[in-house]
Amino acid sequence: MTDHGDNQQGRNLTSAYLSISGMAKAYRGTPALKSVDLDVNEGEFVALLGPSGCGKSTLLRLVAGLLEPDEGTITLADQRIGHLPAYKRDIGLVFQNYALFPHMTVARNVRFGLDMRNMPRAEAETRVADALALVKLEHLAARMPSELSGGQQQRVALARAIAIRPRLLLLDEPLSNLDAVLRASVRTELRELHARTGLTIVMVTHDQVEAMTMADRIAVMSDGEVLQHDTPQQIYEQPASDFVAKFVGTPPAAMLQVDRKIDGRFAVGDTIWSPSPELEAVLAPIQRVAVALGLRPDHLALTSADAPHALPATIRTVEYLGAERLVHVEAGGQMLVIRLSADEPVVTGAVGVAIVKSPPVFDLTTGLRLGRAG
Amino acid sequence: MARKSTFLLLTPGLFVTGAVFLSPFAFLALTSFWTQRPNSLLVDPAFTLVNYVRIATDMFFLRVLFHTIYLGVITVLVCLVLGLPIARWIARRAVVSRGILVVLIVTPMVSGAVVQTLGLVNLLSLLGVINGLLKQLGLIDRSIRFLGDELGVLIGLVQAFLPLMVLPLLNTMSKLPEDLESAARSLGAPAWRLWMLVILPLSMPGIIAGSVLVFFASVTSFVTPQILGQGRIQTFGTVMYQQSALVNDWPFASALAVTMMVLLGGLVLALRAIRQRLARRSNVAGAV
Repeated sequence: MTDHGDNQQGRNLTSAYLSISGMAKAYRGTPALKSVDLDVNEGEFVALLGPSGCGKSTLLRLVAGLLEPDEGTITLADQRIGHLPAYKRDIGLVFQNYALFPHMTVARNVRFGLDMRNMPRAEAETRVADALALVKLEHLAARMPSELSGGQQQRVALARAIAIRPRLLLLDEPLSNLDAVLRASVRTELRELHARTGLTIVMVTHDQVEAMTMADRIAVMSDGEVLQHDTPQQIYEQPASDFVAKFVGTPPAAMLQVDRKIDGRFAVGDTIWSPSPELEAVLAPIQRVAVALGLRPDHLALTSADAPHALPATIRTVEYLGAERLVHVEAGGQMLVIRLSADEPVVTGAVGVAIVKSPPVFDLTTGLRLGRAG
Repeated sequence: MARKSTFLLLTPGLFVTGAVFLSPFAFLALTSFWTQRPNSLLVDPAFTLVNYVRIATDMFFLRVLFHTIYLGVITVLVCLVLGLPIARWIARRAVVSRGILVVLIVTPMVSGAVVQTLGLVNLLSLLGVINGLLKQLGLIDRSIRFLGDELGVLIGLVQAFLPLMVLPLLNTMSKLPEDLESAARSLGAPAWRLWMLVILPLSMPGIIAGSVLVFFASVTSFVTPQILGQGRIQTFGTVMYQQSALVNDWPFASALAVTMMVLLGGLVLALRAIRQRLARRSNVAGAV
């Protein structure tokens, strides 16, 4: 919601390819979406990221026309499509469970949308062949869906959606039914497909790694609202709220509550702590008694307990990940994670945690980012 | 050992089936090859095909046979047209309200054919509720004759056997993933194409099962055509009743019954063959 103002300005200056504004939807009085605004540029790959129940699938279905919004407008390529039924929207949709027609061959599935457009047979056959070639499944055209593996079914679903040359391609959790190995390769394939076709893609996912690795921009959603819509790098480095910071990144950012004492010093739990001059400069202008620092492993370093400005801490566990280790420490009753390369020695017992990079600062109650420049 | 105890457990059921169903049926089949002595309550137990020859050559019985089948087919079609949207509507409700609606669908069947049919007499008679309503609304001047007419019998058959269509349809349709319909719509299918290309083909198992049930129930029905037809509509059921209870020609009534059973049995076998072929060709049965 913090970049709400920026968004509104952006829409007035340049009209986006897909523009959603004031979109609201409630199910039996329970709001699933609360006035969502979202702009997607032509050719962009946008991920709607959020935990289950955050409204991302509802938003996708509203765009597809499978649900009717209570309020709000959708504009696609300068055309208002909010009133159009789903079958007139020319929007390709790939479902989590693929939703292939079980009584039709792969080729008939892919041709379905073309038949609906009454395309001449020869032309349709060419399109089907092209679409199947794009997902490298030409050799399976005559098979029935039940004879295909999950990954193959998903590619058929993709080919079927692409064959109609959609104005927009929507992907609903496209990777969640695939096993881990397949997931990584499909991730790259989808990226390549996006590059080759130049399609505008909106993907729904609950997996932040998927969103980070695939999307040009990510809209992080929670509780029926878009919290932040930005590039993966901005989302990671400049989270707009503590929710975004905690939802994105592996491991996610830890929230460290810092209290300001009457005498101007800072405390973490019961421990009095003097932050580095750089961090103090960040904290100084923030008029709060207590704030939360969003600390990722790359903000932190392990030092000795008596190092200047170090936060006294105790090591709890060490996770070995091959190239690196994750050290979980407790400081002032709160858990932090520090990343160490495999050859760095781990000291045991009492250690110090140094904050080596200025972390984002959040309001304790609202969770919103504080003290941002500008 | 397991086999022995299974057989033991089956014994009471097998006994009941044998005593009250199989042996009377065997006797019925046997009787159909006998003849009734004229002006006598006794039968002549000499093997003869005369009853079957009579069925095959007497135009009256052939006409009744065709009329019965015709009524059955029309009932199936009307039940399909009414049942498909009902089943689909119920299939898309939440599980709780689906349960309530299924109970509502089944309730009339539990109340018994006689109660239902007599209720329909009240609705459909010349001075009945429906004629009264239509007159009040100024849609008709003279009462429509439902009773003693094919229309009335059809209404009765549809009313009685619609649940037999809706339940198997509902069973198939509630297993269809909703995403299939969403996919078809997103690919550009308007409602009628969605039905023709996706919903109907994938509901085929339910359509076949429901059609068979309704067809069998209506061609073998007796109460509905007897009461609503008021003796003017002849079906196999009413004719069998006349032959056995009024004419007192049990062997001939038996032959009529056996003929019907053989026809229906043949139909079941034919449908099974068709379904197996369909399943082999498209894997529908396996996938749904």
